[in-house]
Amino acid sequence: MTGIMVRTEDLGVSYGDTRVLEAISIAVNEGSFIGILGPNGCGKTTLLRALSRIIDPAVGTVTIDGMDIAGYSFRELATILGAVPQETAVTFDFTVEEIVQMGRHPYLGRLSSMDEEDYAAYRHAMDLTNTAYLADRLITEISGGERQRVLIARALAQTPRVLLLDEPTSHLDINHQIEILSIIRGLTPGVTVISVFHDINLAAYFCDTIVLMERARIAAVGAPAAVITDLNIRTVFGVDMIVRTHPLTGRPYTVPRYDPGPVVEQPLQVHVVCGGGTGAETLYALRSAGHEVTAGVLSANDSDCTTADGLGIRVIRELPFAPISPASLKEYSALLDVSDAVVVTGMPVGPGNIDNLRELGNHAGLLIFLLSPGEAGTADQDYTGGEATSLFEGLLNRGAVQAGSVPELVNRLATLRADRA
Amino acid sequence: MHARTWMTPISLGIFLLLSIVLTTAIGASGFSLLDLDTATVTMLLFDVRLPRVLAALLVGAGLAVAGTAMQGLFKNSMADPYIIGTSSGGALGAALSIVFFMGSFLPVFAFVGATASTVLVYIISRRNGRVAVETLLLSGVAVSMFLSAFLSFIMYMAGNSLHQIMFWLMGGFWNISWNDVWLGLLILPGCLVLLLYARDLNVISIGEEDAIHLGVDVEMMKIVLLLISSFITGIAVSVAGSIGFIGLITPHVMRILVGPDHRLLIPSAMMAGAALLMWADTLVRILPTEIPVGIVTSLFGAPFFIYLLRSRTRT
Repeated sequence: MTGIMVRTEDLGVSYGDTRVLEAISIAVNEGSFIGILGPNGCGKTTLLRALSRIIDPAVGTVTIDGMDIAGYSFRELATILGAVPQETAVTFDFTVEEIVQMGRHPYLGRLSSMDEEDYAAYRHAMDLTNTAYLADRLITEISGGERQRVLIARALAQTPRVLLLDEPTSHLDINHQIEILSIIRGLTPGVTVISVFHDINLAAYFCDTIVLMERARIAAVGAPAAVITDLNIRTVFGVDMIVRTHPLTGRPYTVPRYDPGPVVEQPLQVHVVCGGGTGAETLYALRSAGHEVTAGVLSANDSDCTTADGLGIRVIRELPFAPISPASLKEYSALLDVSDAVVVTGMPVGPGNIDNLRELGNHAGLLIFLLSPGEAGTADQDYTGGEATSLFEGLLNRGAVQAGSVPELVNRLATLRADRA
Repeated sequence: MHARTWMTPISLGIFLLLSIVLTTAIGASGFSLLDLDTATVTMLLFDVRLPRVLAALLVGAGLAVAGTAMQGLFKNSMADPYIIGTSSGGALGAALSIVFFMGSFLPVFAFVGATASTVLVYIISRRNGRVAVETLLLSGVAVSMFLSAFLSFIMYMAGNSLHQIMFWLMGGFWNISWNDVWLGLLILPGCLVLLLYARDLNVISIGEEDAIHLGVDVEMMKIVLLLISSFITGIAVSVAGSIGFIGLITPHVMRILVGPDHRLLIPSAMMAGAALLMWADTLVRILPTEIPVGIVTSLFGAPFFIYLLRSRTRT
């Protein structure tokens, strides 16, 4: 049975006349991993500072393990609660070992020195954080990432029941980020962890509960999937993000949307024949270059179709796994007639989409670019028993232009547009 | 790397004991001790030189330890025991005593002036029950300037007493009696208290928020450190005037030698400061004309300070 380990009730904090935290009420279950997210200046760090008694609340209370935080002595609190600050600028040349040993400070009397238990605790902390090899190095002479791990080791040396972390992996490489967060995750449920996160995806993966903050208040609390939504991210961070479900973890993850910008005046009308994910880069690059882009015919479950939809590109689509219907083919043919250029990617070709290539042969004088790093329509992408390959060769023989890369294609189209003007 | 062992403080301790004997034996009386009768030698050694040597020892030790504590608290190796107005307060007290009471109760005046100015700086800096060390530093500068204005005014109006004030300001041991040594002995318990807080000082020298996370009552620690340091400095100033640079340089050099751990640093600085001031005073004594020892410490201290500044900015 787990109880509430950390609780704030109607917590408010002010710096001078500015209220930096307003009506914060959270209850953190013992042994859980809570992530705090929010834009810069929303009060994330201040909340941690209030929880660790660096600053006193203007109103409301903070309760740790059932007791008001003000009721603890600093020393008692430090045996229950460990904290890793975002940044520590150490002036003096302490060794890493000396810094980690300071984690035992709350356990030591003024005249006593460390006993076996203290040695075991700090050495275990150094082993966990992979800092033992740094023991004799100076804290002033190690890298930012190493220093961050040392500070985590110091907090673990306190053998706390609650661990507060302020962007614990902000100075680390991605491999160390995941390593450290896995270690911290592994501390639960013995330790209750509350951490400010910079990276939404890491928080979504590692945390049980997300607290989303906005301008000194809580905007949303709940499981990652409930809190990390397009709408919440747009409201709180003011940016459009694409929220998807991670294919391996089932947790939400986000990627920036990167608006390709508006269509320029007198654009080229470019149609892209693609499929199986081969068109995404081309579609985005052409739209960013300001062209009026269309795509198809594509199966509705093709990832290129999703890309086109996301970019606001008109797609001629067919039902999943269905062959191209006469209606779609007619629409496609009409589109080819008005296009200034057609781009064909090195897509896989099978019975379902071979008609896209066949139809190109019916439009004489059409400017066609074949986008492929090597030979157009290589055999390993041909699932039609050779027909696709011969169709590609036919296009080349009738003047289709080969483009080796997307940037090369964009350049050629830019030249074309300049010639038109 | 630092040689983080007790070797340095132990060597310093042996050197200090030797120094007591040597500096007591060296003097400028102009006679060889062997030519004088026993009574005179005894008088010279035990009533003139020994109290002077011991006073230099105590004052040097006190200033170095107080400087160590201030550098730890301010996380700045450029801090010294006078940084929060102690010396200007002490000087004003001494000047008042010299001008208005013909120098009587001078140590009392100096001590009260020194500690009162520290308390004043602390009260000015205190806000909502907390004191920011940056504010403490700036208030110290402001109060020092304010008190110095009074001091300058008194010196300007002092007339015949000016020379006496000047001599006191530069600091020295020219007129030391056993009474000054007894007074100076109060420095030792002060140093002992700071030594008891050595581990807290380690933690606080990392940073205040870190120290709170590690269970240190930082505001309480500031009061303890400021109170004890200004007590030590107040005693030192009332015995020997405001002698400069001992409290700045000793902790800095010792930190290079033994590392920043205050459990080693405090005893090392204590003995090094003591030896340094004893030898500086000995140098002063054997010069043809006796000059205030503060001139010697500043003469060697200031270039060293500049060296520290330049080697700091290089990194």
